[in-house]
Amino acid sequence: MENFELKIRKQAARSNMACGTRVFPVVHCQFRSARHVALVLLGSLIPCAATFSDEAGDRDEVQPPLAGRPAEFSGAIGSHFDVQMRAAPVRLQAEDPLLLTVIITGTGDLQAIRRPNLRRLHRFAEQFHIDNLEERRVPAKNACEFDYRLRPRAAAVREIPPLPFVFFNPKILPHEKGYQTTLAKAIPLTVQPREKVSPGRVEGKTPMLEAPDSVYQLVEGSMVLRRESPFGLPGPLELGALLLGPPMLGGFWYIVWRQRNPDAVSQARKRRSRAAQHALKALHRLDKLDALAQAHQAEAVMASYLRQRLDLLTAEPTPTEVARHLEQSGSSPALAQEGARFFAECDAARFAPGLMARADNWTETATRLVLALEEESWPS
Amino acid sequence: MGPLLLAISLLPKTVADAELLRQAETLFSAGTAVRDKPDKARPLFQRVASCYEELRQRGAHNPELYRSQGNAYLLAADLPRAILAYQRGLRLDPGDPSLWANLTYARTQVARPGPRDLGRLTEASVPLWLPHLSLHQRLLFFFCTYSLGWLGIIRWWMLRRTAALAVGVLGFSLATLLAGSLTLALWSERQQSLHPLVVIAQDRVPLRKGNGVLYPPRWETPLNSGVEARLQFERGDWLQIELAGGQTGWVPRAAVLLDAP
Repeated sequence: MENFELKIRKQAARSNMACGTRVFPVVHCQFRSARHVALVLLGSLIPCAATFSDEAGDRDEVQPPLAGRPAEFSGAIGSHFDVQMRAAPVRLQAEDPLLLTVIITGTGDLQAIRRPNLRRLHRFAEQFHIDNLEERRVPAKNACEFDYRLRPRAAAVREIPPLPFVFFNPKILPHEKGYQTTLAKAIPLTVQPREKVSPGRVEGKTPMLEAPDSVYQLVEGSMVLRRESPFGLPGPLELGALLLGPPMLGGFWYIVWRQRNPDAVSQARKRRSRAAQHALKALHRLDKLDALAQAHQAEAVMASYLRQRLDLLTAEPTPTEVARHLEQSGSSPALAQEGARFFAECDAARFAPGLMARADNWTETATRLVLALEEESWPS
Repeated sequence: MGPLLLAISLLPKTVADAELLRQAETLFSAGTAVRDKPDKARPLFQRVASCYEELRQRGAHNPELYRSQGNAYLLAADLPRAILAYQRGLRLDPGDPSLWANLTYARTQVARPGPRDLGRLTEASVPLWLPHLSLHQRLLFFFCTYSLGWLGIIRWWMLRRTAALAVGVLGFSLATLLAGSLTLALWSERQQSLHPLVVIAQDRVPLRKGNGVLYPPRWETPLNSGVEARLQFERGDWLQIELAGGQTGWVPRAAVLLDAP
């Protein structure tokens, strides 16, 4: 039992040496023999003692288990590792570079140690721009060194934060509890804001702008002093008045026009008759013809109008047929007679031009007749 | 900014606007005469720009002032302020071809490194050869064509003449177009008031994901002076901006010029 105690004490002393900076002990409580029970009991009195196996000895060839392996595991296997950092310069401006060297010393296989990835460490990544530089193995010192170029992102950076280093200690049982973390001490920094570059330091070195001619022109005169007011829509009342004004003005105009032109109103209503519209348009086109042609064409237009408007069946009606049809349709006798007279005069002009009583404007007569017929109140 | 304020402070407060304008024109002529010697010409152009800035602060507000001020800033190699002045002028007169030409030239001077076209802007949405109407003119023409439309329709109702109907339809069509254009312009003006122009005033300003230096840059490519953006939010000394391509991020207020009233 004394031998065991001595061994445990030796291992504890060795372990404390390994904890050169800080070591997080792993408590192991698995009893495999009476001797082991004693070992654990004793371990409760001696810090770290119970974490070591009395069987594992100094065997470093144990492979680190996947179970419990931290993401930051460096690949280092051994019972003792020490991590230190060295930085220069420690007084600098924001964004200026500094050289950081991470030195790892230990008893295990140094070749297996991977470069600590500072970019994955939040406190490093948020405060520094990080470039990886060279790495060195120094067998004489049993150490490996990793260089980094760090650039503080802002003047608020106060230190290079502590660097955690995770290694595997094969002497700790069970092995999944063998991962230990040691920290390199933080390095205080003095970071100052960057100096502002004054225009005077760079003026004159850059060539003159080759600007287009329009840039070398000024607008001269008092118009440059003008004060343009920003655009604004009129208020709701003004806007309403402006929007309602034109239709109200138009309505007023229409009322006045109706009062002053009652005939025109009536004519306009009559013109809404489709047959009358066609007839009036056709008659309007006859103005340039001579009297004979006008008589012939006006008679045809009127016959067409009577066919469309009053269902006259005859293609070329005689004056008597016209008068009779108008009367049958409900026209006043006077208007019927006027219609018959128009057709009679047209016939006279066509077939006996020498006997033409008067050189009437046939178009005008026909137009009056159409309007008179449209004004007539026809039975429905 | 220091030389600018110094130059303004050296100007007597009692100088009348017209006298200040005359000084600016004289200094500009002097600067143009020595344009081949940048070390002599640039301070002169800077003073010209200061004169125009003083006039602006006294209330002058028109496209001609901003065109002249932009030219002076551009020749003084102050690219961000030149762009800001041109943009102020274009806000008053979006159809000014000289302002557009000079702004386009100024934009070509903005360094835009990297593969990403951060902050690259589109050109004028309306062809410059089209006649441009100010908002006042558009409103006036709207009421003219609107009235014409009503008169045409009412005349058609009186006489049933096709020509009157055509005049009415044409009047209402033009009025509708002008009303649409006016609405669009007013909406655009409102957007510009809600999201004022921001011009990056320093080189290599990272566009960060948050309002602090501890936030990482959104892209590796930083923004250079002269890049234009629109203000989205303000939080302390930080501004969230949106670039022309829709990219958003945060920049310190000290690194930008803000077109705030």
